[in-house]
Amino acid sequence: MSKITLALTGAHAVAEAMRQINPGVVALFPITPQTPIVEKYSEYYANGVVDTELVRSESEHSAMSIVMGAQAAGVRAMTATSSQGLAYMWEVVGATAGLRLPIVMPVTNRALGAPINIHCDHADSMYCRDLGWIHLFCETAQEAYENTLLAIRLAEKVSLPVMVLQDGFITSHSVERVDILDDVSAKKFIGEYKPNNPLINTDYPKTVGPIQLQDYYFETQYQGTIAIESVFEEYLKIGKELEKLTGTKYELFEEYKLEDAEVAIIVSSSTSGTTKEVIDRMRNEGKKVGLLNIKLYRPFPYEAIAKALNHFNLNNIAVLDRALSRGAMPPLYTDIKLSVSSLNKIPKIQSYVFGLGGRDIIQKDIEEVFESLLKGKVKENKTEYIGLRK
Amino acid sequence: MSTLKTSHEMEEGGIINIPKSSRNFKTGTWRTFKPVIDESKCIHCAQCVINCPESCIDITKDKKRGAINMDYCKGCSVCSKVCPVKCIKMETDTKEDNK
Amino acid sequence: MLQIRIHARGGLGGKSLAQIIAETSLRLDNYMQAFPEYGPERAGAPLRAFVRIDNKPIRLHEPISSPDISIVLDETLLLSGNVTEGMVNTSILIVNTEKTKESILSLLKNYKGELYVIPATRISLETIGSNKPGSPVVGALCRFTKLITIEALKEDMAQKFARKGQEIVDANQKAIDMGFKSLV
Repeated sequence: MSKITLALTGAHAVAEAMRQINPGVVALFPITPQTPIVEKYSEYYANGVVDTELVRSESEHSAMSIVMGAQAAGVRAMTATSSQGLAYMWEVVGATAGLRLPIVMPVTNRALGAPINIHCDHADSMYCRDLGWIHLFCETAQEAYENTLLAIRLAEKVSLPVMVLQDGFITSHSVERVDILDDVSAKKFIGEYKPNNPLINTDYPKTVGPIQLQDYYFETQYQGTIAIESVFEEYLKIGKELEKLTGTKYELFEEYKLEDAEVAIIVSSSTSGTTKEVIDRMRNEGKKVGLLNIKLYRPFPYEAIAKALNHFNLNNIAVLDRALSRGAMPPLYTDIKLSVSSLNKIPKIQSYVFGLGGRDIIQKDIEEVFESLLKGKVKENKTEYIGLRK
Repeated sequence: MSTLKTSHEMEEGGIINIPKSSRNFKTGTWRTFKPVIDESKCIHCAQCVINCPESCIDITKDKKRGAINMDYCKGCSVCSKVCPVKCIKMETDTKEDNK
Repeated sequence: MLQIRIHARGGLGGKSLAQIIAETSLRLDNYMQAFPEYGPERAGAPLRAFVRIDNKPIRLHEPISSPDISIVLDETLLLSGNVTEGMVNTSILIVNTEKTKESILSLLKNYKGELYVIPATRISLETIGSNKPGSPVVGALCRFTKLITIEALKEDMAQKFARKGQEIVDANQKAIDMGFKSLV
């Protein structure tokens, strides 16, 4: 087994993973900042590097419908999208989960209009969090590559679709050092696709997507709920297997200097990298600060997070959401709040919203959050906004 | 309704992998009216065959309109409405002749 | 960690310059990050691009506010005033210009760091035949850091431009060499 080190953007890294997966069907439609993923994949297709059936669809709704049909027919099928594109395909996104089709879709997180904005926040995928898809947040281009490979195995194991999420522009358009697995090892890990119930199998004709009314719909919804709960175990199991190839540890979430922290930030994606940098500096000053980096967002690991936050020393927590839930508390905050509700000593939690529409979050911002946590400035159930002109 | 499957017994995603399972669903029990064909008037145009929502009117090998499968005829009267020579009459069904 | 900020205009090759620096440093087994700041993506619009190079993984995801090296690919950007933002005594400013250091310094307010000038536009016109100041500038950059070298740079350029023919490769390599020598 050998690794190949390349200079890749996050988008290109995902396209590399797709090349190694070589899906039977890829349906594409461009949208910033996802476009470089399908652009690169089209290049592979044009150069004969992959033998995919490439469909240039007329919209994201069509792209997801094509992918749904192809996957139901019995091949691996992929598409990628962002923001309004994800919103436009929303109807079919829900349907794929309902049909238990193991589709993997890379998503570059981007703000959802209006006002129109091409930059990063997590609104697009957050509004899909209840649709029955598995959500994996990625911090770096490297992680986006590895998670795309892992997602294929995970999706097919539990018969559920997976979104592999990376920050639009910040990760998708930033050139980073990425270690790619050699094709033989990657393809061996990915394996052959054995569909559970392929539609194209004339020996066993079947119906996909029949109507279910008061008598069966509820049961089918429950099936999906049971299935997504099995993800924790399978994710860790498949992660162990991939770890042997990549050397990366795949945890439900990352704990960074959390074990003895007095205050902690909980955040996902690229911002967690900046946070780690700040933590190292503040630790040198003797300040006990830590990070919980959200990776597997759906299903949400309530119990495991409660366990990680069950430290006697941990007093104050800040949850940093890159999305709003207008008229309610932000999504990640709500999930964390529920996680800690079972603890004997419940830490105080401050909600922050940051970086909407690609607004920069810099080390100073994060340091200020830590400093105010250390001073005990926590107002529960009240959101503060980082870098906003009120 | 007591034979309904639990979520554990069902196929993933509501897939039905038993071919022709809709045959087990006999819509004939829904019928209040039944179609009665005046054979002397029928021109075998097969409009009733095409338009029957339950596809329960046969077509014979010599391409004539065949018998109505009363297990599935739900008495909707579409055949009677589309018949160009008005040879299908809907009559009250006492259901004494079938089961 | 070495942090480089590039000030350019859309179409001048600022984003490509960041990418070439990053790719070259990877050839020398470094960790790196190169990203542009996306504003209005139009030819001529002011644009900033950033490069970080380190011998360990880079975790920061923020624009570079206090660079070790700031590169100005178009001297008209000096007037907008932010090319020296966050720079200190030890910072290095490289400006693509035909003017002398003294006349450039007179345009900069309160700049305490080192200043270098390079006639990169002229060099690129002489060698490549179009205004692509990136190649001479990246050649000159090799004088300030061991994280990229002329050899690795030429290797990267040769591979990058291989499809465009040997003539283009040679022209760019000449531009790199001239850039390395012409910086004052």
